[in-house]
Amino acid sequence: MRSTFHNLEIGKRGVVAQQTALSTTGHNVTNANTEGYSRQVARLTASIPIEYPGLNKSTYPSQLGTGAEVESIRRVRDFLMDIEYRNQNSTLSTWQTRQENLSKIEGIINEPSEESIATTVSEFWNAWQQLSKNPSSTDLSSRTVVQQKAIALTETFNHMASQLETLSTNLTDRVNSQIAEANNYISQVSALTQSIKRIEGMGDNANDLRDKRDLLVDQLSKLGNIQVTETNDTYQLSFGGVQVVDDLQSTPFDIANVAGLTQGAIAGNIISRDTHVAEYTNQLNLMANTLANGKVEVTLPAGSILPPGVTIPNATMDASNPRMLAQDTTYTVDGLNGLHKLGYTLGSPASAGQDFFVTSDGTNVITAANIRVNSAIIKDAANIAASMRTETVANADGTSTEKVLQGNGDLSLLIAGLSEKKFSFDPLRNNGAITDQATFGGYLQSVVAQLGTEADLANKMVENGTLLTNHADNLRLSVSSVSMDEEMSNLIKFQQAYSASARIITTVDEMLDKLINGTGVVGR
Amino acid sequence: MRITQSMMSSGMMHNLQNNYQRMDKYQEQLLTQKQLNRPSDNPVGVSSALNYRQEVSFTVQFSENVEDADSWMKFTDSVLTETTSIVQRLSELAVQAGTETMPEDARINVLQEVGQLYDQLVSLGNSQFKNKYIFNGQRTDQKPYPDDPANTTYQLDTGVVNYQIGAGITVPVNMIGDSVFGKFGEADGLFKVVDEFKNALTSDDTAGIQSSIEALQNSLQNITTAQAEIGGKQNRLDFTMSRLEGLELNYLDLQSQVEDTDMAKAITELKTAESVYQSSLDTIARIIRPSLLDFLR
Repeated sequence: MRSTFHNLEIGKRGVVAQQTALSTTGHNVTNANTEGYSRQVARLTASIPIEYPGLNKSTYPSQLGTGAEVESIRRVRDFLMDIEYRNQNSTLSTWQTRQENLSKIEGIINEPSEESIATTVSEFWNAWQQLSKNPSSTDLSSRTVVQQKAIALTETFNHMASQLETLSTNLTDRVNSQIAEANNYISQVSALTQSIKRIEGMGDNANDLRDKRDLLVDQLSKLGNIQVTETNDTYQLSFGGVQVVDDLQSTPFDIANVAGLTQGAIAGNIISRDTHVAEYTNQLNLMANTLANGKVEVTLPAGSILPPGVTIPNATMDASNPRMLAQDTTYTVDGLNGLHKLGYTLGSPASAGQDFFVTSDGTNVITAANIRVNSAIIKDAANIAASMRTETVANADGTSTEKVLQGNGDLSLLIAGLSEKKFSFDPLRNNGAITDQATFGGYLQSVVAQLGTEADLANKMVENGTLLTNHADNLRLSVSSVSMDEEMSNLIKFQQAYSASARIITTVDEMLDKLINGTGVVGR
Repeated sequence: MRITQSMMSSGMMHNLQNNYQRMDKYQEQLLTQKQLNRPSDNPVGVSSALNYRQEVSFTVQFSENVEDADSWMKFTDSVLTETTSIVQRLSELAVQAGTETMPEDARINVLQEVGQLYDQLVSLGNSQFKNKYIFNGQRTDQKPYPDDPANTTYQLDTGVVNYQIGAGITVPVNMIGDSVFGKFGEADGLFKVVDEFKNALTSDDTAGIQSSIEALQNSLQNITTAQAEIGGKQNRLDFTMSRLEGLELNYLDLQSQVEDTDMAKAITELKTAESVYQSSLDTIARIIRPSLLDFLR
């Protein structure tokens, strides 16, 4: 049996329900530009009609409507689209980081330019040609040119190596600070999860907090690969394959687990450091060491006089001088250093050349960071060996001295000719040489081409990834973002419904007025 | 698909960014005049560009070497021309003095001239080009010819001075003294021949003077042969020079093709990018304004 005021109640319920819907619309409009906000809808539902089936049900016609009520306020969001977006975002972020770092390496390698290794190396070879034309002490300027170009070359190597080293250190710092950033996000996600759990335990929807949590997870997905597992009452988040949030529990991500990060900015930085920076440092080291010590075959001209103690297997020596080559002899020397030792400096008595390139730190292996021109040569350009012949000159006191034949520039000509020779790029250690046999210039070109290809790939992947990420984001926004037009029409809709509900109250009021004041005048 | 304001604005920003990037790319090309500014601009192109740069650098050096070799040879050539005229003068004198009828005091005059010519020959043999003795092989810092023709122990160096004029190609630039003047102190050596001529003049030995005529002719032959050899080498250098010039031009051309900005293309692209950017802004301005809000009330 319904109440007299039944319709009044319906009108009131309508007003309340429409007002809630209007509030929700207002909330949407004001949050139209809030990052991570998903639009909310007040779900209106018809309230339970009377009468409820039961033994004591009256005989009146039943299932009389009782008006509308707000069942829940929900956010409109698609969980699967979040997964898609976050995957794309992680991948994009990996490539963005790689691209950024490769572009830094490109800046360090600095090709093509006038200050690059390629240029300094060409100038270095040319300086030796210059010296081959003026080997004697009458013109020391050519020697100074070789000395200076060699210093320029080693400094270019040193400079690039130290820049790569700095980049590597910066990347380590960046990884550390990004892990700290990730942990900050993780602890916020955990705190939000606890709040959400508390609120939703009471049957409400913590829409705004969920948005905040999802936004944090979006940001986290930029740093690393994440995975969210959510059921009705549990929430789990893993970062880099490690479970960092498990419902109410959370553990910060430890740097020891960094190998689990396969995507995202942190992984990108690690790949940049351990693959790219390491690769190009290694290539520079290989080039520096090969230039100084790599095996290369040269043809020593007949008439060359070998320094004492040097023997060349299977060489035919001159009958009159056991140190003189009788004919042109091919011989594999250990790089520019090995070749330089076969000649003589301007010193008197004749002395053989020393290592041209040495290490600055006293270690045995030449790297791009420690390659240096022998300090004896830096001190005095006369210590550059250019000649391959000596002569014995009688002294006034009857003794004799072996002196260098200054007009012989054969050695500098041979060294200049190394520019066309194929060096062995470290087949023994086999640590990532692009090819075993190549000219110095050719090897450098392939290193630069490799860098160019890698950077180009990164550029394209970023372009591609941006498209995919934007697309995935658009799909999400298409569901979740606020449309002003939509909200405006809702506004009108709910406003009109509100007015109409109010009108029901007015109508009931008039009805009751009739009932109470217009009828039953008996007792008046 | 449901489209909302935030989607549109993020899409617009993305597209604007793309347009801006395109403008930046062509602006960089125009400002640097290079379409290759980093390896990733064109990995293969950069590799060839490096190759061309290296070739240009080497070719320029080879050209310089050819010029140096050429000036050395020109100098040698002029020394040989002077030597030839001295030997010719000596031959004339020998022919004059070789006649029985020549009076003795006239022979003394001849002897004096021959003495002067001998000294001149020695100084020619000791010619220096840029501080280097040109006839002493690789002993360029040592004087090849002593003033005393009796010094027979003296040996010239026969080392060849090579200049590189191409990849793996060298040219010997020096003339060995022995092949011009003959071995010092030996019978067919020019200095010995002139010395014998002097002796014959001093001792009035007509037969000796006459045999000097033939010896001088032989020496002249040697010098002419040497000069012809120099001429041949200079010829070769000329060819090499023009070939190197052609090569340099060719490499520079190739380098420019790979590295340099195609101005017409870059400007056109930039203008296109600019107008695309303009019209994007225009479009955005039109789209952003109206919403249902504008039409309510």
